[in-house]
Amino acid sequence: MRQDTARWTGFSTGGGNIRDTGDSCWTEWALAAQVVRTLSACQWTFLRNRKRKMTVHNLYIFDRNGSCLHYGEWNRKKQAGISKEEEFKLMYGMLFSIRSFCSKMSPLDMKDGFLTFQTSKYKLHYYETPTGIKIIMNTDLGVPNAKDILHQIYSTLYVEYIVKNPLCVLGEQLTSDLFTTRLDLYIRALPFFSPRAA
Amino acid sequence: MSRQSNRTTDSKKMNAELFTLTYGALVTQLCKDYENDEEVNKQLDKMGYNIGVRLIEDFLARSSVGRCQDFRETADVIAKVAFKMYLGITPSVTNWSPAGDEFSLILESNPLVDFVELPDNHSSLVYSNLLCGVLRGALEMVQMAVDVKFAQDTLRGDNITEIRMKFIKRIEENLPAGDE
Repeated sequence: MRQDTARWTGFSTGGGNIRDTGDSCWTEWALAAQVVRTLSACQWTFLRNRKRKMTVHNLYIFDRNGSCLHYGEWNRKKQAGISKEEEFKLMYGMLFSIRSFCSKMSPLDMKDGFLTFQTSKYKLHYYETPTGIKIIMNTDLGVPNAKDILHQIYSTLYVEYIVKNPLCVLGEQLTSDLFTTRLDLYIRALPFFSPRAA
Repeated sequence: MSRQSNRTTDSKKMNAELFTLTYGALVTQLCKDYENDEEVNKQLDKMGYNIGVRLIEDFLARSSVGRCQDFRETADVIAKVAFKMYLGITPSVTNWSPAGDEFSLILESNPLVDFVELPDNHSSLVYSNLLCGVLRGALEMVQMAVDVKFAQDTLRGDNITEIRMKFIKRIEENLPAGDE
């Protein structure tokens, strides 16, 4: 910034010569261009910092009986402090309760049901199919609505690589390496994903 | 079983005759293995059930149809969307029972039975019983217990093919039991 200001100041003193010759619009145009350049630099830095904030923390996939089929982690700084099985049970139980709470307490006829919740630090996105497959993704606050993304994960990854694979037993922990790799690639390719510096 | 990752979500075109012949070979082999029509019917139903359990996920992924509100909507979705998507035919939904829990699907053509004639010694074989299993398995995964059977079958001398579907009950989803 300081460099920019110096350039601007230097320009205005240098531009004095041009003004003397009577070509004032040239000076003003050049001044405006400099202001725009400075603003763009600020905006670019701002956007770059903002992009760094958006990321995917982790992803859970549950089936209709509550067993966790898959868990993937990308940017989780703090663990829950309980074992993974307990964490999955907690997540599933909480979502079950929240869903029935939302449908009971809804003042209007509910169409989609529970979609997301957010805290001051993260946002949880929820997607459920009529067959009971639940996909939960925790992201940063900058992500607006991940419903389409979760639907994509279901239709292009889960259905293609797990359901259509006769060797994958439905209802058990997913052991398909192909699925894990593709899911990882997909998450990393999302526009709002950025691997944060540790 | 690996797949190319750039497969679109549209259905791949497949030779219908290959499909019909494959199904025919399957039923023929089952008849040879079990030698009893009732047993073959049961096996076809079981196989159909396993297919249906997975097919429903593919259907939901491709059609983005939401949860159906009642059995009538389910019937329409099955006839107009599902059958069209997988078999390329659109059966008509008729013969609703007064209570609204039973209906018939009338199929003008059945791609499974092209070129097929049942011999006399297999008169109780329900050739397309796989379809019953598929419908049963698929609906069970969306919390509906149904009973599906063929009421009329062109292979056994009737004029039309009619599948009768009866709603039994809604399967409630239950919270998994706790450890304590």
